[in-house]
Amino acid sequence: MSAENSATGAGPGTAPLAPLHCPRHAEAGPPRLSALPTGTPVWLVSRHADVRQALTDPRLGRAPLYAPDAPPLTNAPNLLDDPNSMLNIDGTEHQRLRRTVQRAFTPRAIARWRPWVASVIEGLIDELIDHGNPADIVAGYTRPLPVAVISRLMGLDNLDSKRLAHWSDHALSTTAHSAEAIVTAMGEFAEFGSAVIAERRADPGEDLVSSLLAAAAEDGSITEGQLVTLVIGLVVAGHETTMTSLGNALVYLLGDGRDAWQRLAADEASAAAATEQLLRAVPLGDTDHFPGLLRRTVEEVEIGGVVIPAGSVVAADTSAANMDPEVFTGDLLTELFSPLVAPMYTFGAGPHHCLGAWLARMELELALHRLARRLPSLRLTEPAGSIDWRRGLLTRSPNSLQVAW
Amino acid sequence: MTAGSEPGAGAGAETVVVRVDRERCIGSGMCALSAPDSLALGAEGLAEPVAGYGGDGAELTAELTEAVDFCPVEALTLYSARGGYRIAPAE
Repeated sequence: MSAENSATGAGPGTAPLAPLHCPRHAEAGPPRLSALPTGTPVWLVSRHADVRQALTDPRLGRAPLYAPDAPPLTNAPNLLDDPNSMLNIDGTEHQRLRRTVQRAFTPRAIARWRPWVASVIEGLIDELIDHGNPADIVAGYTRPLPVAVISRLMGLDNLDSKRLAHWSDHALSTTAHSAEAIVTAMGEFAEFGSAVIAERRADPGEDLVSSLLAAAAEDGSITEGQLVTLVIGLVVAGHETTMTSLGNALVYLLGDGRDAWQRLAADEASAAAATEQLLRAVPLGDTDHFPGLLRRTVEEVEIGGVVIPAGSVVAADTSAANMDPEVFTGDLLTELFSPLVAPMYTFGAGPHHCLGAWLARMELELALHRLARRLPSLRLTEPAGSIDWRRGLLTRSPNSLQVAW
Repeated sequence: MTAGSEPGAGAGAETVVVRVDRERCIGSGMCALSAPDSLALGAEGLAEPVAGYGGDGAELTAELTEAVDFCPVEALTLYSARGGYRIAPAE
């Protein structure tokens, strides 16, 4: 099993990084002015209630971030900066695009996949056991599971794993790749998306792409560019963050949080509770190039007692909100199996709340529960300090993680 | 009933109330966009029924049915105003 991500590696001079579950120093307080890596001023919003407002108040939007008068947000735009993306339109236009896929991702729609996802998980664990000690659990488990799930949902039977990794790394690159390399990779990825769309138009099936094309045809207002970006966006979003979250959860659970492993195996309800706490307390990435979920004010807004002018860029730091000491007082060691005392914002809130939230939850809780049940003595064979991280991306997760049982 | 029905043509038609599960609601605002006569975003950015939909009941519209159907977190439930039974989503 070899690592397949191009965004790998500790190059010369790159210091070891702390695992994501280690609390970073975050200043809780009212919105304050900072700057993006481009120099663009940004209002950092970090308290729980303030983050909620920034994400739900209609006076802030995503589309204004890409308006002609918008300041530069990044030096190397990636897939999330595509103005065709569902993420970057608001209001009725956003809703019309989102409703082409929404029905497939509601809690009840996702629950129907549960037995099948469990069978994929059991199959991957069988393969791990056949492979034997030690094994890379990223290559053997945290990555192939969400890739298999989104491939099945979208009917992408022949999706090449290496090409997917290449596209995904570029799609979410911050500093790993040059602006030109990202443009080239996204061009290829879009060609792939166009080809899938053409194929499903000619021969529709029971998959998500076929259903979204049917819904879009009925709607009539959705552009081809929006459809292509939606399809490739689903491919990336459908696996990358789940892989990241599962990998980082295992770094914690097989290391500092090892005492909980036995209880995770006990029942699915415990694993479901732990999943919520892990999603809350283990961020998907670092904040150096990604201070939070970005929005731009369309008019003056007061958030947390601070007046933010019209046209300002605002970063909602969801990982800080998820650790707001005024709201969340416990830590993972004491509260892993306790219900959340308040909503967590890892999936965002408001109109752009993560489409795949319920799918991700289901994959994570089943993946943790079944792994703990089948491999009760699972452990890391390397110290957390020497983990090879995927760097230069919006997300950070282990590139590989050696385990034994 | 056709799309061109007169208001009131549904006399005897179903009147409904809609309930919002505030634990589930994430303030997507999709319902308020789909069915502004039935739902709005209120305090804390969460959905709230408007007028009769939160009280004695009002007409079941196609827009409201769609809003309930498309809620990303299934936070909306429709009940018969008279019978009190659940209409959608199905149990």
